Amino acid sequence: MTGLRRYHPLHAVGFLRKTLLLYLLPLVQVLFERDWDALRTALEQDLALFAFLTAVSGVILHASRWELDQEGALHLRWNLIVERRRLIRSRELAVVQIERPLLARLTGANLVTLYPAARGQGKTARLYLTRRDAALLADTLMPAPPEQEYHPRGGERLALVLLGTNSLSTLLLVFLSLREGRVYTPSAELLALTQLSQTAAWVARWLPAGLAWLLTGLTVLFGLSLARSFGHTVHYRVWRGGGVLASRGGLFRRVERRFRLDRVSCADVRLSPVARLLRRYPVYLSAGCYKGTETPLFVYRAGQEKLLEELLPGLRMPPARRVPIGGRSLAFFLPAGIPCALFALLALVSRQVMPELTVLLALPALVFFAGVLAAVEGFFREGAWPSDGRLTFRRQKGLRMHCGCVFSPAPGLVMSQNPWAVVKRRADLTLVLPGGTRWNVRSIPLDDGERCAQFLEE
Amino acid sequence: MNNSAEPHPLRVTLTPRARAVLCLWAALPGVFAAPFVFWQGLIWGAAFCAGWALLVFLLGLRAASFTAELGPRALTIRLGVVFPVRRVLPRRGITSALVFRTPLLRLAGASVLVLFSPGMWAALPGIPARQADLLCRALLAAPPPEEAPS
Repeated sequence: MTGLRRYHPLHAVGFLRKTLLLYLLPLVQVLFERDWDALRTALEQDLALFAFLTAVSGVILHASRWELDQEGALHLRWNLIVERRRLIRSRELAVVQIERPLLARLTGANLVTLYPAARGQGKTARLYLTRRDAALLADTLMPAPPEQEYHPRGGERLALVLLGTNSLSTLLLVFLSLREGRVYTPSAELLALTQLSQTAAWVARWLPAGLAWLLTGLTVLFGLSLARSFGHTVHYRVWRGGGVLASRGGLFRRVERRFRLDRVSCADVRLSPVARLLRRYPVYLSAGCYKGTETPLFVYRAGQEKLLEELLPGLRMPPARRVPIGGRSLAFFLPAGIPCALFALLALVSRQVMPELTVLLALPALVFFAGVLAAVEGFFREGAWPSDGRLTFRRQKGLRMHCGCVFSPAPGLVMSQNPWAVVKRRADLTLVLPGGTRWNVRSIPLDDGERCAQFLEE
Repeated sequence: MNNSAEPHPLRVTLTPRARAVLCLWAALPGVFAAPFVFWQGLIWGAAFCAGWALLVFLLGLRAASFTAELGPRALTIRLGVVFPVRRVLPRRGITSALVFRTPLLRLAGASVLVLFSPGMWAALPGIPARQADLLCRALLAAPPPEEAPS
C-alpha cells in the first residue's frame, strides 16, 4: 500500500544517544588528571568515534525500512547482511502512541510506539517517522473517528493537573490553596504557582532553619511535577469511536494515545486524598503491554458516572461495601506502622536527648501515620468481587485506594494461603493481566476468592 | 483432537513413580553438597543431611497434593496443604506449551508440561505422559465455541 519507506533521520539519533557514555568516559578520566594534552587527544578520539558511530547510524537508517501492505499490516524490515522482517497486524496491537517531543517537533518527526496486546507477541516497537507517515500509520493500524468527545475544562482541567502531579507535593498545594479558599477559581493554577514562592517563608515559621534544603528540594520537585502535568493538559481531549478510545494533548510534548477497547485489560480509578478533597477521580487505563501508570486518561467528577459509561462502556466499579474483618491479617499495617512507631519512638527519645531533632523526626512519623490511616481503610475495604460480568477489586497502596475493573477476558489468577489464613479462611489473590501487570489483593475472605476463581473457570 | 471428544473435566494427578523422580531431582543438589559439608565436621554434615532430607520429604508431600483440572474455560492447578495455592489459567490465554521427558521420567511414564500464557507460566511436573499429551492437545486446539473471537 505504501511501498517501502525509510524512517525519519531521528531514528538513527536514537542509536547515537545510547552511545553518549562512550564519549564521556575518556573525558572524565582526563579532566580529573588535569592533563590538557591528554584532553586534546581524548577529544580527537571522541571526534573519530563520533564520526564512526554517525556512519553506523547512517547504515542503520539505510538498512531499516517499513511498509504498510494492502491488508493494513505493518512490515518492519532490516536488510543488511542478514534479512529480518517483522509483521505487526492491527489486531495484535493494544495501544498506538504518537509522541511529539520538542526535538521531534523541530525536525518534523513523530515517535510512534506500538504496544502489543500481550506479552509474547513481540517487543514494543518504537519508530521515528515523519508527521504525515505517523498519522497514516496510526489511522491505518487503529483508526479513531471522533464520535464522542470530552474536553476537560475549568475545574476538571485543574483536577487533571493536580491529580497528575506526585501526591506529596500536591497535598501541600491543595492545603495551601484550601487555606485561601479559592481552589476552584479559574486562576487557581496561577494562584498555586504564586503561592509556591511563599511556601518557604510559611514553613520557616515552624521548621528549623536547617531544613530549608528539604523545602527547596520539595518545592523544585513540585514545580517540575506541576509544570509537567500542566503541560500535559494543554489542548487535552478524549474521544471514542470505531472501537477505539483516544486522548491527545500536551504543550511541549504532545502525546496522542489510542486504545483498542477490546484490548483494554484494566481500568484503575485512583482515590488519592487530593482526589477525595476535590471530589474528582482520575482514571488510568492499562492495555496489553501498556502499563498506563504515567498519566490519567481523564478525570471524572463524583456523580458524573455517565461520562465513565460513555467513554468506557462496560466499566464496573467494585461494590461499595465493607468486607468482614474477622481474622483479617494485620500485615496491612506493617509497611507504614513499623516506620511510624520507630520514628515516633525516636522523636520521643530526642525530646530528652536532642530536642533540636524532635521536629525532624516527628515529620516522617506524621507522614507514616497518614500511611497507617490509609491502611485502616484498606483493612476495611480491600477485596475482589465479580460484578455484573466483570472482575472488580479494591486495593490500597500507600495513601491511595485503587478501584479496578478487569476488562481482559483471560486474566490469570493465583490464590495462595498460609497456615494462619487456612484457619481463618482467608486468601491472598493475585490477578495477572496479559501485559504482565499484577494486582495483589490481600487477605480477602476465602469465599470471595473462590467466587473470583469460579468466575474465571465457569 | 476434537473438542467435543474432550473429556470434561480432565483431571491430572502425579503418580507415585513420578513423585519419586521429583524427589530424586530435589535430593541431587544435597547429595552433591553433602561431602563439602561433612568436610566441615561430622555434626554439620549430619545436620545438613537431616535438613535436606526433611525438605525432600516435604516436597514429596506437596507433590502428592498436586492436581490439575481442565474445565471448559480454564485450567485449574491446586497444590499444597499447609500452604495451599490455586492457580487459574484461562484456556484462551494459553499461548504455547512445552513437554519434555528425561530418561528417568520416561522410565516412570511421566513428562513435565510447561504452559505459557501472557504474563504467566505454569509447570506441571511429572504428570503421566498420556495425560500430558491430552492436555496439550486440548489446550492448543481451537478455542472452545463459546470463546471464539467474534
